[in-house]
This record gives sequence, structure tokens and C-alpha cells, in this order.
Amino acid sequence: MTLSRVAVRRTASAHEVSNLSGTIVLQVLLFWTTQQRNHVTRTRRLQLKTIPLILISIILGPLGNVFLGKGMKSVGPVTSARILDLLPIASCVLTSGYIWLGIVCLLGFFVVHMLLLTWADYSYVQPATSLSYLSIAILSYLVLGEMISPLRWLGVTVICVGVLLVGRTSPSTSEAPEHA
Amino acid sequence: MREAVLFFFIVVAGTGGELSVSRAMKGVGEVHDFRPKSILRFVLQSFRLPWMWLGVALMSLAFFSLLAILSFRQVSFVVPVSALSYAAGAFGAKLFLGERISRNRWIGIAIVCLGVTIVWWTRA
Repeated sequence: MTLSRVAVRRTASAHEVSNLSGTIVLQVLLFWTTQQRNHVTRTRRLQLKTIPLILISIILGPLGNVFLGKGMKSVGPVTSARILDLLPIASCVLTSGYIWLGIVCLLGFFVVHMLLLTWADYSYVQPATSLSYLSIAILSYLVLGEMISPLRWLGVTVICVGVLLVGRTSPSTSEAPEHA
Repeated sequence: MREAVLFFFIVVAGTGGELSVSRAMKGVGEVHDFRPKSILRFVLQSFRLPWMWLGVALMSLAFFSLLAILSFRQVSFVVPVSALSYAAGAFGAKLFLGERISRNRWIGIAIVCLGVTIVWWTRA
């Protein structure tokens, strides 16, 4: 009776030990996978908020300029630089709804841009915003009905490539590089 | 001629304004505290510097020039041409802030200038 009880206890403790080591292995595995998953979800979470905000800034900034253009076309061509001629134009500009809409869009763009830069690198954001030169062409075609010749599309695309290259260079050049 | 002057204001005054504001900001120092009260204090402090006023004046000049040119030119022409400010920015940063511009950046700026030239041909 006692012998069998000891045997039972021994097997139980052996069982416990194997259980314990199994738990440790499991926990290490679990810790490792959570770490990996945390890393992946962190990157994905950052992308989840960075990419929509970049899209918003690519649309909002050009949209502001499109509204400014629409407002100014309704004011009429400004041909004189004399103060007396500019005063009535200024009052037209300040009372134009499209101008204020444009200013609000540009302010919104500015805020979104600042928000982005609080966590994303400038060298990541700046090349992405080079697409705004394409979106200004698309929006002025869609909203203002401007006819855009193939040559202008080519020019706009070349500007995009140039801005992309400007952004892909190092953002800080005023100090000597640490690694040559 | 008139639009060349306006583009000059947009590009040169706009970039000059940004450089002046940048200089004023460096004078105030790095922001560590983002509470509304300290941000307000930061803004008030920056307006004590003459560079800030110069910057705001130049940027306003650039904005009103943009409005003037938009009154008789297409948006899809004006905005791409104002990308010349990348070139002006690089020259200004080199001359006034003593920044060194890498060769790759000059190549990018040259491509922007090429694109602006192509867009300029379509102005008629």
C-alpha cells in the first residue's frame, strides 16, 4: 500500500518535472512568437496609419491648389500691380468661398504632413509626396476640366522622378557622415 | 514677362521665406514639450526674432503671387513649374545655411528642372 503510494508520488513528481520543462519550452516559444508578432504588428500598424495619411496628404495639398485656382479664375485675371487696382481684387479674393476652401485644404495638408513627420522619417515621406505632382494633374483635369497635353504629362512625370530622387538622398548633410 | 516675375516671387520668395523661418526656428531651439501652453509660448518666442517676420513676409508674397498667377494660368501648369523651388531650396541651403548637397540630390534637381522645362513648353 505504502510502496505503491510512494511509486505513485514518484511518478507524479517525474510527471511534474517533465510537465514543468514542457511548460518552460512552451513559454519560451510563446514569448518568442509574441515578440515576432509584436514586431510585425508594430510595422503593420505603422503602415496602416502612415499609408492612408500619405494618400490624404497627396490628395489634400493639390486639392487646395485646385480650389485656389477655381477661386482665382472666378475673380478674373490680375493684370495690374497698382495698389488701387489690387484693393477691389483683394476684397473679391477674401470673399470667395473657393479661396477659403483651398486655404482650409492646404492647412489640413500641413497638419497631416506634420502629424506624419512625428513618427515617419522625412526620407520616407518626401519621396511619397512626389506623387502629388501627378495628382495635381489628375485633379485639375477632373475638377477644373483642364486639357492636359501628352507633353505636359511627360513633364509632370519627369518632375515626379526628379522629386523622388531628391527625397531618396540623405536628409541631413550639414554634418560629416560617421561612416564614409 | 509678367508671369516670369510672378514665378520668380513664388520660387525665390517662397524658398527665402522657408529658409528664414528655418533660421528663426533654429534660434528658438528644439521643441521637447508639446503641451498647448508651451507651444503657444514657443510661437510667441519665435515672433520676437526678426528672421521670423522676414520669413512670414516672404511667404505671404509668394502666396499672393501664386494667387495672381492662378488667375490667368492653368493649375496643372503653375504647380509643376513651381517645383523649381527644389532647385532654389538647394542653392539657398548651400549658400545661407552651409548645407552640403550630395551628388544624387543635384541629379534629382537637374531632372526636376528638365521636367519644368518640358511643362514650360506647354504654356501656350
